[in-house]
Amino acid sequence: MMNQTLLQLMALGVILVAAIAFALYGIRYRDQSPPTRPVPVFPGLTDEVGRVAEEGVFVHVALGNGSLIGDDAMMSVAALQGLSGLLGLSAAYDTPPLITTGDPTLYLLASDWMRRAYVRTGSADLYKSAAVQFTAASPVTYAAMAATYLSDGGIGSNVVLGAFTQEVTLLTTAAERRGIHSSGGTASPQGLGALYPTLDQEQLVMGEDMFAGSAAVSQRSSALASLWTQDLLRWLVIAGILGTALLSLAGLGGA
Amino acid sequence: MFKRVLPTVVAMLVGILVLLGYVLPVESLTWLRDIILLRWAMVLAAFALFVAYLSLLRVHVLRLTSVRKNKFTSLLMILSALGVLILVLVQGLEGPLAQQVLTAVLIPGESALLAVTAVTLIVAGMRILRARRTAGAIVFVVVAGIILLTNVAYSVYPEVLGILRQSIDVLATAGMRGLVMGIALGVTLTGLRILLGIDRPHSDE
Repeated sequence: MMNQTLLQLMALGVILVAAIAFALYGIRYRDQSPPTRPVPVFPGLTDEVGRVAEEGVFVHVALGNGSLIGDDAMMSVAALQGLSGLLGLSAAYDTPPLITTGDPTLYLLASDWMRRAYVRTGSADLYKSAAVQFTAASPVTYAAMAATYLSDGGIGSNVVLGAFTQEVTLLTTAAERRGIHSSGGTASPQGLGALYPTLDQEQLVMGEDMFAGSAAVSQRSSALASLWTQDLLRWLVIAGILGTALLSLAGLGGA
Repeated sequence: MFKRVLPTVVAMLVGILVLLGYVLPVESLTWLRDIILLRWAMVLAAFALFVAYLSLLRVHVLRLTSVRKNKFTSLLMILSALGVLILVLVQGLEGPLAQQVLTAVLIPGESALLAVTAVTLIVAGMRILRARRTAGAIVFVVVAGIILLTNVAYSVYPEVLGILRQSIDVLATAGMRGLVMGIALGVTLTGLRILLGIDRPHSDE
């Protein structure tokens, strides 16, 4: 078994490599848009606002149960970043989405993001706190409770984006039953297994693409540099795995 | 200053200290992370729960007074939220009635919902081929079928199904590890952007 200290230092090494690659790429493309792969789902989420506004209905955004003091914190932040375009446009049209969360810390952050979207458009007084709701602390109860909101009427689009596992199927099937268009994604294999049969592939964000939302929506060079670094590190990891496997086959160490 | 700089500096400082506590084998950093910073985070999370609880009550009271459907659900929600709160305040978390609510209402209710989840998953899986006949959808249904078959009938035909299950397990484990590694890289980069103060999810951009 590998030494704990060695593992810690390896983790530090990965973080340093990521930071250096990120900084170099950010400096290289400071004033221009760097070339990155497209992630089409996120801009599509923003377009949902215009579509539902025309129909006189609302978007339901389910952010899941990713606590800000737990393992899913970055996933929840990434989900909100991917939704920033949707929140901004909703505030501009004053058609706020109904945002539901299953975690109290995420509820506070989502409320703040929605309020700030209104502040940025200069209409802070129009913000309604009921637009963001904490529904339940347990994942299954949260999904079941949020699914009942879909039956209330007035919802024209269902976006599920954040930390989910198999309970997300309650939300997507409830939307499907009422003919509500669903889109979104998650990173966990269980959540993806549940989302895959119910969402069109063009509407599904899978795994690491969850963290590409900021780049896809904002097109800021820092976010694009982060996405590029993520892709670079992925290739390094693949090269490392293949190298280790080949060394192992050649009898030169490895597991 | 207080709206932008201070939250960013606090977030960066705390984030870097917690990160160093994980990646450097220094005991004082681990102590700082586990005893001080994470405890503060827990206290803040407890306050967040209190605020979220009040918001939940407020939303359902508003729903009761509006012309929406599902008013009964909201009424039930308010009564149970207040009832359980009073119960726990009077008896404590380990009180007999509070435990009774947990074992007789919450756990069976959650189990029932999980069973519903399983059924909806199966139905969604069965409908996938009707909705789209892509290679991915066919692979999904075939693999799901093999896993169901090997789980249910493994004891009847252990030799044949054992080999099938092993080969699927290897592929599934490889896929899941690939997915998890990608997520780890995404988490690292998202965290780095916050630690470097480039992204400020907690304050105005």
